[in-house]
Amino acid sequence: MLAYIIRRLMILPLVLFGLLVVVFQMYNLLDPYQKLAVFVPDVSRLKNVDPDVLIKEYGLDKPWWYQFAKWFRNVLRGDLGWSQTAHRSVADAFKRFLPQTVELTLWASIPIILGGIWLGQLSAVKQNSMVDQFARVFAVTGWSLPMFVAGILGLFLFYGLLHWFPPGRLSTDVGLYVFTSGKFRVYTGIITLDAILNWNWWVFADAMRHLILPVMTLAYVSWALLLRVTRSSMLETLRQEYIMTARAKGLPERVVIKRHARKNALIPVATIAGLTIAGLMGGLVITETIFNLPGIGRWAANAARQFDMPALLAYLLFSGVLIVVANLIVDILYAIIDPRVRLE
Amino acid sequence: MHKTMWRKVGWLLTAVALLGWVAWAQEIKNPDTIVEATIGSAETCDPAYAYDTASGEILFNTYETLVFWPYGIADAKGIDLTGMSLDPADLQPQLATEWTVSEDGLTYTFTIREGVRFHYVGVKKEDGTIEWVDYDSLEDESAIVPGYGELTPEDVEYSIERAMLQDRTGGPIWMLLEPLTGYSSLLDLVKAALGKDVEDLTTLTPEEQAEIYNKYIDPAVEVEGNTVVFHLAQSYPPFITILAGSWASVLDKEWTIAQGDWDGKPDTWAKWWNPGGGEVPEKSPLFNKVNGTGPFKLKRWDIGVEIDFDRFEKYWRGPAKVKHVVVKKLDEWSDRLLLLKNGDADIVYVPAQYLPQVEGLPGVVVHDPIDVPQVLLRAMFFVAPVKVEGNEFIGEGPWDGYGIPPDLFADVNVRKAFCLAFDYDAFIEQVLLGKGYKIHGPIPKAFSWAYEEDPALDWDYDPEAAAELLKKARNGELWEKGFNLTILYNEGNDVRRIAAEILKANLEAMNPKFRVNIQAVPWKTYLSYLVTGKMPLFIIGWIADYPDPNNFAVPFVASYGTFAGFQGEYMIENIFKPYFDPIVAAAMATTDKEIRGNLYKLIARLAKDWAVDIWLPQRYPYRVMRDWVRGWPINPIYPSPYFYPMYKAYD
Repeated sequence: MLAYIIRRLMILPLVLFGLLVVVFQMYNLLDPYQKLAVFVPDVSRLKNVDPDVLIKEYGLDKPWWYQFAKWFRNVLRGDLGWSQTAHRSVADAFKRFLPQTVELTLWASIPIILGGIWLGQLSAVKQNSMVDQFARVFAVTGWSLPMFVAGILGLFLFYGLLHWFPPGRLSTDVGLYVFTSGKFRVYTGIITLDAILNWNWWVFADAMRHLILPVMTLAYVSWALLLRVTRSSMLETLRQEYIMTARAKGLPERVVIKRHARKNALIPVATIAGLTIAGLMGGLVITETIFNLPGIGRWAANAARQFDMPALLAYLLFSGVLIVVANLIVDILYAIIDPRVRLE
Repeated sequence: MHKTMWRKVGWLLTAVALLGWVAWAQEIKNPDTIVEATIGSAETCDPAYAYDTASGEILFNTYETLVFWPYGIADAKGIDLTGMSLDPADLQPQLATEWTVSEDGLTYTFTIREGVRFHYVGVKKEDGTIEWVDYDSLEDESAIVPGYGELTPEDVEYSIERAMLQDRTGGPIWMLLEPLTGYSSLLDLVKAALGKDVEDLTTLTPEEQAEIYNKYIDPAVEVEGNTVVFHLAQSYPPFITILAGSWASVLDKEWTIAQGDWDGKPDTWAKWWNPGGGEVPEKSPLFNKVNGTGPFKLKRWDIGVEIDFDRFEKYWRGPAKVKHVVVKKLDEWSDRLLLLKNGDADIVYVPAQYLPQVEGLPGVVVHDPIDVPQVLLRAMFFVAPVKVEGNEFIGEGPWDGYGIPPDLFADVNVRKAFCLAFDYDAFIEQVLLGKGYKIHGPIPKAFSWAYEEDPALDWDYDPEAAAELLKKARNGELWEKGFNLTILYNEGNDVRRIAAEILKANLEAMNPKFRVNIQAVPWKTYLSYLVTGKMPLFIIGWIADYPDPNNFAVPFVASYGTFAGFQGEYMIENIFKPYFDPIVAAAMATTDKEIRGNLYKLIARLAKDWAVDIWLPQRYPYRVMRDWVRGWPINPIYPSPYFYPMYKAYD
């Protein structure tokens, strides 16, 4: 098992290096003047300046491998550059935006996994019933609804009309209390967790009030996949002989489903769930933008819009690491859950 | 009886519901806090570095300058413009109590206000070291170490000198350097003074640094008793208006040094020159630290997310009316709209095209238009000649009707025809929703003393006249062969897109051989085409740094100006240099307002004769706020809301 993990970990840097080379090649398609524009914040910077001098100064006329080596050397030193969209160093931007993304992902993973599995199981157990049809239609509607449509509709309904769940991270008065009063200690930047650590339920409730809508939007658009995988896996399991044996032994249906069928049916679901959560973490672009949550996704969206190259390269590095690590964890979990994988 | 009872209950319930609704509608959310929802992210808190509107908002409310622009009020109760002015003669004292200007306009003397304290003051600890403490929480005034957090003339001198010596590339300090030293950058000054080609000032020896400082910087700003004297190197009539800008904010010298900034010595300054090459603001020690004398203290700057201010309780003019100000950065329009609608934001940034969505919303007040001409301009610039090499916008090989001849706009007939082919009224209707006005030339209408109200100077849409001129152009060849012109705009900029579409429709209707392609490109790509001179026509805008016509004449029509400099060799050598540069210089050589006004009027006339640009009509400003917002100052030169007089009430 250990050798398996080490082998997988050794591949990781190679995969990331390959990814970065590909991304840098895309950037290299720009001509030196376009590259210069990428680094120049605004037109005033160009006043009385010869662009050719600046191109030489930045080394933008040098071969791609030279530019890549220069950038990569800085990355190894921990200097990921300056993000024009975040108005901070890339490293600082990660430090600032990551807690929000982690918080949203963690809270969203609860309804996504539990809801998806529950719906899938329900559909399988009550196959072809009204419940099955309804659950599938409900989930597929979410799957086919673009995230920005679901988000904006939710926002207009639950905040615009009902005043229940506002956008943003905290209400104005709570925000001032948390960040400027000096009475609240920010330990992790994950507000709900910090509120628990401060034993402050007022802040916790407000943070949750702001999280419910993005979390439910994410859950709604993610349920379909888990539902379908759980349902088909469950149906397959329910047709196995050992299930028939369990039933023949006279075990109650509840026990058959919970003890015997569900456990085995969840093996493929674990893979999908793990990758769904990892995918969420790297791709909360739309949710964070619509609900004005200052996370990695919103930053990446701004960076892409404004061609903020250092931020984009760092974001790709981050998502790459995330997906590769998530794959690794899923594989390891898979090996733990299913001994057959280990033996192979 | 039964029916009557139910009716009574019904009426009672209705009354309760109505009262409840009225109470809800009347309830002011966060009454002690002004909440602004806007776009744009501040770049820095360093006054010498900042050159963007969002940073200006922080500086404008936390720091102060020697003089200040007087304002009117445009709040939910109404509009009162009586106090507002852009005339330098109306500038109000702020950290200066009074000032005099010498006859020749080269010496400005300011008396510095006494008894003013900064947000943080220095007190001596038991071990002899200085600790910076919040002045609001300090009980024993005598604990302050003299000069540490107390405003002195030396603070003013240090602040201006530090700014001039920092002079980051692309920053605002050219405005101080030009009048005080005669050079627009420190690099140019050093090159001229030392007579050697130097690109990196950090390589200067201590002796060279001392020479520059002692000869050029120190004599420019001097302390004499309780006054600060500015010695100008050349006549610069708008100098005092420059001193009202955030770049001239007054810092506490001792506190700034304690943050690791320039120590005030003549031979050490180069270390702090151009921090981060002008592109990495965090390299400045004051990047995220503020200690001003202004009405608000910066409590938290969560970059790109939120800015929180607390009022300065011991502010020298008395505390602000609200305790807190929160500025939320919200890029999504739907979020800003909903926050405003629900009363969670008091003032929001509303792009003009979304105004219909907020008009008529309960609890929301919209003032549109407000009769205040703006100090900004937008134009379509002609480039002649465009760069030929690798230019995809001019067609392949010699001009054959596909693409354009590189020197298309060198012909004044073509430029005039394009000015006549633009439908200004359509632009006012479609883009400015009928709330705009035409302009002529590079001087905004806001400078009434330098702007000629003569409709004959305006361009009018006249397709017949335009066609006549185009028939004459290039000896009839242009009309015969036609052209295929590409106009670019930066993605998402609907104003520029519609302007281009108006021109396209009118030109193509004139002659089927005239074709105009409109392409959206990312801003960075747009910028790269601008730099390389590939775009035959570019659209860009300019907001005033200081309210003086010179701040518009230079970028638009001086050969060395920001935009005119991108208009190609022909335009620079044959039009800007011979016709405009001498007038721009003459207008700066005198302090006589009448003479200056006439010279700027002449520039507008010449701009029409030479048809240097298509001047896009300008919109009147507007404001959107909750109905409880009171005391919102207005002056077109303000970079953002000035929160000091603002409060929330139904009075």
